[in-house]
Amino acid sequence: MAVENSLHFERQEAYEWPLAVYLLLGGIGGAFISLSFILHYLFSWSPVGNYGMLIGMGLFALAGLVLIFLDLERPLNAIYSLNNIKTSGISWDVVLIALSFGGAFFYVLPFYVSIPALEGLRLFFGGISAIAGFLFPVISGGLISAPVSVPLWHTPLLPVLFLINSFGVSVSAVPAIFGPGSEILAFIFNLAVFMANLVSLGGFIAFYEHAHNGPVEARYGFHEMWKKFNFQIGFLVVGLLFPLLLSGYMLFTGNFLSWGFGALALAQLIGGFALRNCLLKHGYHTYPWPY
Amino acid sequence: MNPRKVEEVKKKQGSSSREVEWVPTICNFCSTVCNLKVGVKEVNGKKIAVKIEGNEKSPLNRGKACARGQAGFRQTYDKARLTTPLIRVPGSKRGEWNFKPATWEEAYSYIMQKMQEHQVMPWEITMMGGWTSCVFYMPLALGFAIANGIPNIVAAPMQQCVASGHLGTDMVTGNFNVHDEVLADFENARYIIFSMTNSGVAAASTSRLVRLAEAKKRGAKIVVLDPRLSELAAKADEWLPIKPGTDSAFFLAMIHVILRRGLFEREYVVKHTNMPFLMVEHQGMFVPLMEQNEQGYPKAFFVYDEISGEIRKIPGYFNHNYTDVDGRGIRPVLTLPEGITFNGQKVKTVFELLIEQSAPYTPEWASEETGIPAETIERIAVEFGTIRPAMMDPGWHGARYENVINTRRLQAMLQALVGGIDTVGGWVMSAEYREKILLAMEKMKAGEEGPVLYLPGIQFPLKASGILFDPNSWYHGHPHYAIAKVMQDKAEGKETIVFPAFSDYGLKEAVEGKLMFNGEPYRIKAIILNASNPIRHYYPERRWQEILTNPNLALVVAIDVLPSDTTLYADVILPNLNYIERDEPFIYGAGPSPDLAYTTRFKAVDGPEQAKGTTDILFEFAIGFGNLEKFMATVAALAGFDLEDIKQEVGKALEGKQTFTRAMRNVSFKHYAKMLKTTPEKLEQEMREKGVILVETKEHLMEHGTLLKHLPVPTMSGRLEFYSYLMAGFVQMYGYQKNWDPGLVYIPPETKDVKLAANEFHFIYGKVPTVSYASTNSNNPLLMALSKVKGGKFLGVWVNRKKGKSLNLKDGDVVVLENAQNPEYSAKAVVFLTEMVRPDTVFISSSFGTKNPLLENAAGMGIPLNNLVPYKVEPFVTGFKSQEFTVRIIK
Amino acid sequence: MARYGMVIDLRTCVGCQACSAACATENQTPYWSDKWRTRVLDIEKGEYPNTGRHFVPTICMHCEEPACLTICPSQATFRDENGSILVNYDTCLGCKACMAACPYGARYVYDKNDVAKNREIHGELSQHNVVHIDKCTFCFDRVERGLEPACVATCPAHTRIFGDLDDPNSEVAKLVASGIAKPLRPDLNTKPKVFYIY
Repeated sequence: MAVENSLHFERQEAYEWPLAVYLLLGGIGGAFISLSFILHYLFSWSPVGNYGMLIGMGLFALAGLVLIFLDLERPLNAIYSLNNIKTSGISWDVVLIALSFGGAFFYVLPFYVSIPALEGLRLFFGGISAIAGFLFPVISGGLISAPVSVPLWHTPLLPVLFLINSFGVSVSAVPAIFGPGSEILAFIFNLAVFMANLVSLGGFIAFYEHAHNGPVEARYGFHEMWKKFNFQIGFLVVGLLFPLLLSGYMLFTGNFLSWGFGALALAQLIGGFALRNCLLKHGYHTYPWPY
Repeated sequence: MNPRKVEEVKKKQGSSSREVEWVPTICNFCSTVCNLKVGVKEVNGKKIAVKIEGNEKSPLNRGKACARGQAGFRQTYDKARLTTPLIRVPGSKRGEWNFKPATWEEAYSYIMQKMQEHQVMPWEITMMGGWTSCVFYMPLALGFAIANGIPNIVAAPMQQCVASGHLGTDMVTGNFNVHDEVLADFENARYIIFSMTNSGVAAASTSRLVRLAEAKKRGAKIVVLDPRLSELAAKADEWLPIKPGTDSAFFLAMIHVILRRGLFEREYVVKHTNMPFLMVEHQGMFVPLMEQNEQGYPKAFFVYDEISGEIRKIPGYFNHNYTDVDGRGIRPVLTLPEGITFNGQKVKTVFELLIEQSAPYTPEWASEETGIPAETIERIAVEFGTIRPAMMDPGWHGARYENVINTRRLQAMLQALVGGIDTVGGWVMSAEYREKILLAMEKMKAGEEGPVLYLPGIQFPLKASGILFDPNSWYHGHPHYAIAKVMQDKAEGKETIVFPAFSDYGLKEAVEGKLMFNGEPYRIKAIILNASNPIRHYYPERRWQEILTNPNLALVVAIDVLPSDTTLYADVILPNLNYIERDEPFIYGAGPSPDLAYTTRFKAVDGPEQAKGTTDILFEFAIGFGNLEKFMATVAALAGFDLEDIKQEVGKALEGKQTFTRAMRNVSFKHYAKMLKTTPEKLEQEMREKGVILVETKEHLMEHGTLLKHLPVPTMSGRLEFYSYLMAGFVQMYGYQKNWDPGLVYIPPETKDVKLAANEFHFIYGKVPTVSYASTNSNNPLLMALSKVKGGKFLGVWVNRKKGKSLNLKDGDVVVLENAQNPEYSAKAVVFLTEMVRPDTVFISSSFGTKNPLLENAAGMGIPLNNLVPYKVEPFVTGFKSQEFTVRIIK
Repeated sequence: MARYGMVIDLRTCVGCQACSAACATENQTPYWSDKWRTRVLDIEKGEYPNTGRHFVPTICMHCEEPACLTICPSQATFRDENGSILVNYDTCLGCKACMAACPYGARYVYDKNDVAKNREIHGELSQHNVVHIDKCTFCFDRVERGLEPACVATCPAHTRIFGDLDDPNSEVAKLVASGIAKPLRPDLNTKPKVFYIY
């Protein structure tokens, strides 16, 4: 691809790897919470409802800590982070984390103490928590993709890719941790992972199109990213093709390998980090100057 | 956010210039001498400079300041600042930083002791001054030398800049003085050509830049001749990457075209130049037809008058050619009718001589020389000749090539051809210069001679160097050592220098004991450096290392603000107050400003407790030498001050009631108050308020004092000289050389016929806007930060990208630049590949290359220019041939 | 109440960086870390001998639809009564979202080291005592005193022109109205109040 002016492009330096970690942990946390809620609610799968929710909360807490202490220049000022709820994606992120975390807390609480007053509200808290958890990877992806300043990121595909990856990891991790439950559930999990990676592939091809034919700054960033080992192996091979092939194999042969889900979860986790980190690293600013 | 909260937040965010006291000053970071004001705040009872801005009242810089000007105050707070006198630790060698702090008394007595020990005679001392000595302390520096019997002054800007460049333009216009650089009226010009300059405008001389920007806005066309795309060339409508050193060929071709096509301003040329003057055949050559007085000054010239059809005699020193010596109106011709003779001898006009001389310089010929297509040269000549007002920028920095004086002279001729000397859209001369001519005319009428420092134009350097050059003006009979060297050269039958004004020519030989005068060695045993850094800004560094480390040299004293590379070689370092820390001893004209204005510096902050002003140091030296009385008398005579005033004020200083600086300042204020019809107190108050006092605008001045229209210029003839009588005089005295050919001549660069090897290049250097030429201001943290932003563009060597790739060079490669003719001269450099330079040429910035590790921001940054340049000087004024070689890039 | 804007006339800029020096001095910005509120790009284009060298001063555009302002979670970025975009140092999280969101590269982190270094240089007169995201303020403190912003006041090439875009008699308003001064990348919909003549 032809890239003009490449010498002048300035790499964005605002978002570095801590933010990639935050996006990854938060996304998976949200996915874990909503998935756990669904599995508990629809299949009455108690351990998942309990420990799955707790894992999600833990991931959220970790994500929040990473953000505050590794990304913010002034961690203590995090208290002001809700000041601009009207327009700021970051404020929304904070609200979503709080809602999802809080909802999950009250949802999980009855596993440990009996609070009759909560019983009637359990579905409500679970629902809130699941919806907020589901929205988190969408909104945080949107946070990155919304501004026009980094053309590579400026596409709705970003939230989609983040969302799918987060769920792909969760859907693999649940059976890996808790066991597949039943034949039919195992099949459903595998199908979900396969579908997720299939969509992810489609999403990525669409993203490739965007980056390839989009603004010159996006092309330049993508071009640079395309050349990187981390991206080729970390995301494309480990994070996308491997899970697709493995889940496809398991799905079409019916041979659910004992290590299958664990491997899928790990591969997508690695891929998810590689994707987010590579994208952040290769975000180049718009070139607004007339020469 | 609610408005009250907004208010609250904003209140917390101040800016440096809030609530400051403004103190007027004159910039010291380059010789543009912009008028500035220093913003001062008081913290715990101590005044601190926090901001510098341009003075809006300035006719020079019009309220603007460049990066250097604004960063200046940081010098005061430089960690490396010299804060106390330093004496070299016994046993340590010059070149090592090994000093012990001392009191002033100790420093002075060390100096005097060394002088006595080695029996240093006055003529065995050399004073060396930078441009600040020239511009701010001329009466004191010159007075000090004369009073103490020291004939040896080396003035730093001469060989690099003033003498080796301006002298050319000034041979046409008669200027050549302090601030002879022309602040041209760019903004009213419609067509401007620049050659061999970047520093003079875009990199950055604020007073010129403000005017050029206005010209750009008004749509003037700009043409720049430069082998590289400099900051100035970037602004050109037409950038002509000319072959280095051949600009004069371009101008000769322009003259060829303009003369032949009649595209010059005919009436102006006939009336105000010596183009119609008759030349007469003499032993096969044409020489000026004129009558001279005993001193050789022209008494009368001859022209052919078309009204009467006769040859008429016209006054020898006058501003126009329209009246003859009897007061009759005449109209001289440029081209004589057939068969005109003078007393039977063949005659022709200067114009006709120039037509003949310019015949070979066709655009096609110039195209071969310059690498610019003949059509382009022809077109530019036509555009320049037809668009009015057209301007040929006078240029600024000189040196570089043996032919630069000639090049600048051709530029002045072109400017004269389009009638653009002291006209709107042309070279408007400085008010100070105009005032001096007016004064000189008054004195001339009264039959007296004014103070030396008020001599207009070239009369001053002729007079001043005349004093230094003439053995008879010194009680000890020793002229400047450069003259002794010239005499020795002549005796040995060697080629020598005609006019080594304030030059370093022969200094090395004198130090080494190889210079003979009247059968005895003429030695230099002591060097006093005042704000001068020859290790960096003279060529080459090695020569100065050898001079300064020579054991014959008993004493090296350096007066400076920062530990320049040269201070490493001193025996005694005397800490100087910098420009924002001192009240200056004089009132100054506003540099080259066309408006008549006066200005001076006011102390803004305290300097280091032990640092002193130059005035005080010079006075204390004079006292030490026992020459105070003489010193005062000389200064009074040179500057036209009242000697009684000086004695009275200096008397108070001797009693310890005030500094010597204050004493001279009081004298100066009294002097000017009388002139401006006010009191010294009121004058000082007004100056403090305004910084610059505008006395008369350029428009007003020009109503009665336009050069040529009303006043003669200080050339020999008073007219603009296409044929230079001064240079003709040199031919008579020293024999013919192209360098002082009084007419048109081409001097090709020495590098012209060099067959470049694959890794060999022509060499050019130039200035950047953030650091002045080879100065310590590269250590300024802000300026160095701004320079680093530019990376290799400022700090590396420019190599054409394609050419560089063919040599396997990459951006950032470290290479060695080696002088191809003198391989012992070389320097390390970082490669900057670019499309902005000719494939056969490399460029470096002359602003960097500082080595003293005490200057921690500057040391090791960039390329030291004078490590590449050998000691090669041209024969007219010892101008440095600082680009007249090629370099090899060695990986 | 005004609507301050700037016109930058690229025809005259020679890249002398007087503006950067003025700004760095007026606002104590961390030049030692190569961070500037305003800088001058020096762009080489084309092939020898048809090379162009272009100087482009950059500065916060004080957009009317500022991406930095919408994205700021703490409202540390705000708009003052004259339409200038400012930062409240006290409530800034330093999340750098505004830096990522700005299409004109106008912001940077005034970080811990910078605060310490500034303190070392300016002592009591230090203007930056906490870590924050820093940017151009259109020198409101100078403008309130009737002066031009530091970069404008010192520009030797008269490249920068400052004024009230709502005042039809101001030079900036006239230049913008004439169409000769244009915003950069209007397609980004940020509605810059800095216009360029090029």
